Amino acid sequence: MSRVHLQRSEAVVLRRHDYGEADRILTLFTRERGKLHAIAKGVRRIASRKSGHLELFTRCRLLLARGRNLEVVTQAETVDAYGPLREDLVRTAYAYHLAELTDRLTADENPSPGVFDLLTAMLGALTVAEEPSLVARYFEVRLLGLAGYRPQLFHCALCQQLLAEEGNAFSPSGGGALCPDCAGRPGDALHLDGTAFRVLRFLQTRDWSDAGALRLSPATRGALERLTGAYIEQILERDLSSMGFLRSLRSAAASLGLAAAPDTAPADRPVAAEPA
Amino acid sequence: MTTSLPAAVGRLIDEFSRLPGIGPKTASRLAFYLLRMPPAQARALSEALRGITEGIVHCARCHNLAESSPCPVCADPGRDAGLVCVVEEPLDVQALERTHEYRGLYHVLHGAISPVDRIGPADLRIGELVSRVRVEPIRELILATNPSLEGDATAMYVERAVRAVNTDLRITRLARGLPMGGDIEYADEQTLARAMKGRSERG
Repeated sequence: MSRVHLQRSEAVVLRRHDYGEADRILTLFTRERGKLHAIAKGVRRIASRKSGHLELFTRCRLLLARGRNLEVVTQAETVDAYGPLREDLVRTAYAYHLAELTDRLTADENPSPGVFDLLTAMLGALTVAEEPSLVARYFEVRLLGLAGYRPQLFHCALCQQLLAEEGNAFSPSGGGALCPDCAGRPGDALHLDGTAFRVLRFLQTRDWSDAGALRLSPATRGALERLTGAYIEQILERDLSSMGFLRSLRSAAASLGLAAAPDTAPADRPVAAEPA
Repeated sequence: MTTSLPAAVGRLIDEFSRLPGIGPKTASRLAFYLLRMPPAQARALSEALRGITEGIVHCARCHNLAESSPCPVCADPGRDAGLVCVVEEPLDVQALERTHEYRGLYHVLHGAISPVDRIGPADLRIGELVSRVRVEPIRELILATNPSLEGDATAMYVERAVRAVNTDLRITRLARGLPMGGDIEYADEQTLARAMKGRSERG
C-alpha cells in the first residue's frame, strides 16, 4: 500500500469556489497550520457525505491528505455550524466580513492558533450578539494585533508622546492615533471622537467578556466603522467586498423603506480604558 | 507557441484555453481531436456554437434562457400563473421541470449573493422579481435557491425585498432534508435538524 500522508486538522471554511464537475476548492483556516487550500471532491452532489460539513463559516474536524498541489479533504465532521448566522442576513454579512479579513490578513501555511481561536470565538459571538457590529470591531482590532498591524492607541504614532483621551486624530498611514501637535502632519488624519477612541482602546485591551457588554450609540458605531475601515483599507490597499455588501444591505433597506438593524441602542455606556 | 501550426488551428487552441478548467495542453488535445473528427460532426459543433450566440434570448418575464420571449413556460396557458418558483440558474429550472411535479412559473435570478465574489443583490434579477410581484396575480412565491449559505442569504434578501411591496403574499422555501441514497450517520447537523423539524405524517 502506498504511503498516504493523512493529517487531522480543525478548520473554519473561509471561502470556496466550484471546481470541475462536482468539486470545490476551499480556503480553510486551520488551528494547526494556519490558512491553507484544499480540494473537496464530489461535494456539490446532493448526497455528498461531506458537503453539509463544509459549508462556509462552519467549524469542522477534517482529515486531510497531501495531494500533488492541493490538500484533499477525505473526511469532514462539523464541530459548530453557527446555525443562527445562517438565518439572519445581517449576521451572515458580518460573518463574511470576519472570513474576508482573516483571508486577507493572513499568509498561507503560517500557523496562528490565536487567529483561529479569535475567529471561532467571534463567529460564536455573532450568533448571539445584540450588536453584530461590535463583534466585527472587536475582531478587527484583535486580528490587526495578531497579524502585526496593531494600531497605536496609547502613544502618538508619530512622536510617541502619551495620548490624552480627547483632542486626538487618527491616521491610517501613520499607524494609529496622533496627538494634537502631530494631527496635521500626515494628509490622511481623520477626526477621532473621544468616545470612539476610548472604545477602541477598550477593545484592544479587554477580553470579549468585557467588550461584548458595551452598548454603543449609532453615532459611535458609525465612527468606529469609519476608523477601522480606513485603517484596514490602508493596509490591504483595496476595499473589502464584505463592507460593500453591508452597505448595500443598509441602502437597500433604506430604499425599500425597511428598518435596518435596530438602532434602538441608548447613548454610549461610559467606558474606562486603562493603558496596557 | 503554435507558430508551426496553421493559424486556424492556433486560433481554435487559443479559444479553447479561455474556457474554465482548460489549460493549453487540454486545449491542444481538444483541437486535434476535432481535426480528426468527421467534418460533419465538427460542423454540427460549430452550428451549435453559432446557435447560442444568435438564437438565445432572456425571457422578459422569468429571465430564463429561451429561443423566444416569452419562453414556452411563461406562454403556456395551462401553467398556474399564481405560483412562481425563484431559482438561481437556468439549469435549476431544468431540474425542477424533470420532476413533472410543478405546474407554476419560474423566476431565474442568474446567480446568488456572494460578497467574496463581489456579487451583490444589484447583480441579480431581484428588482425584476419585485416588479412581477407588483403587477402579476401571484399567490405564492417558492424560494428554491440552493441550500447553501449563499442560497440562504439570497432567499432571505428576496424575501425582504418582496415583503416590502406585498405583505400578504405567501412565501415558502423548498424543504430541506435527507437526500435519496443518503446516510443519516453522515448527515450534518443543519440538515438533520431541519429534516426532524419538517418530518411528515405517515398514512
